[in-house]
Amino acid sequence: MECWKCGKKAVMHRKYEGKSWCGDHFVEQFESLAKETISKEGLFQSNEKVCVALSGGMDSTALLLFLDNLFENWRDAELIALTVDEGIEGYRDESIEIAKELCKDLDIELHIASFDDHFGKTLDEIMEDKDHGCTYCGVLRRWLLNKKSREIGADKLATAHNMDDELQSIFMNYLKGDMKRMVRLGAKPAVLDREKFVPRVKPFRESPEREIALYAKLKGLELHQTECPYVEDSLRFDVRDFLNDMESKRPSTKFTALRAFDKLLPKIKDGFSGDETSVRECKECDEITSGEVCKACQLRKKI
Amino acid sequence: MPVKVLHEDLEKSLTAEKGTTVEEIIRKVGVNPETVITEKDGEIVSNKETVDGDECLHLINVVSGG
Ligand SMILES: [Zn+2]
Ligand SMILES: [Zn+2]
Repeated sequence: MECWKCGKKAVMHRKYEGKSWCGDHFVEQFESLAKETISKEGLFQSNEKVCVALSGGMDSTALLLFLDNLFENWRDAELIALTVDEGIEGYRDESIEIAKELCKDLDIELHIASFDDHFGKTLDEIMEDKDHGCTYCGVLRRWLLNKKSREIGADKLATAHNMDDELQSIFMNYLKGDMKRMVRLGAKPAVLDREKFVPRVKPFRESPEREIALYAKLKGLELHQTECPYVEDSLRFDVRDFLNDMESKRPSTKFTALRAFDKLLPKIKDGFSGDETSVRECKECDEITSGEVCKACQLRKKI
Repeated sequence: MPVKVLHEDLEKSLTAEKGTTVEEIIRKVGVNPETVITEKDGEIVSNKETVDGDECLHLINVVSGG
């Protein structure tokens, strides 16, 4: 099979567009899609300090590499990285080493924020209580990412959410009937309080997970998908498998579904967004919340 | 013609006709082609690539979470 552009050996056949790509042209095409997302959605401005949420996994290392390359040609943009160390022995240690090494190679300032330092317990310790699930990790990690990236002066927090992640979230919220959370999705969700909340952006939002993996591999990154030992058999996985089955039977289903959501979003956003006046500072930690005490502080008391 | 497939910790051997595509082989071992990228004898290949025999396909999982 040959690249439709240059005739070299193909590394990817995209069924959804009916074209095959060689390594070089695939990389070019992959990067131009992410650049398009960035400019279409206005994800970055000049003079900004952009912090990449770097887990050390495949998607976030690929994102850091891509942005580092992109920002080389941008004046005044600064790139830093932030890794959350949840404290998962044997799993997180390895990916933190990958994060450290990559940042050293690229000469990017890396900050590490740990659960142990901020919550007094590692995730391993939190999970000793059988009732504690992925919710704890997710809520505490988001809280920490926001607080820490604000403290280090980031204007934007770039996360490596890909098309598959985004679609899974759309369908999960739909299936759970959580419209309020659903309208907060998008490449650049609206931010209520810029002082307190570092806006999150998703440059890979339109890139399929499988293509990010190929990009990472072609860029020389290690592709080892280690799995979090606490991973739950969740609704997310059911939705993920359903979407991949659909894509496999009916190529381009995922693209159509994402585009449909993006058309729908501006029309339903105002109708389902929360009451902005109810946003206030958490009584305990001063981060913003819609209630009296934020979710992270509520969970913190239970660990 | 024999083809060897490595996926995660599993190793499967199967026979396939010459000219069978990588995608067909991925499906034969019960894997969704949307969830892996494939190396043939150490080189990344597209799902439309065909096998000619005595090859080893290495399927690398690309979906997060397991
Ligand atoms: Zn080419
Ligand atoms: Zn709080």
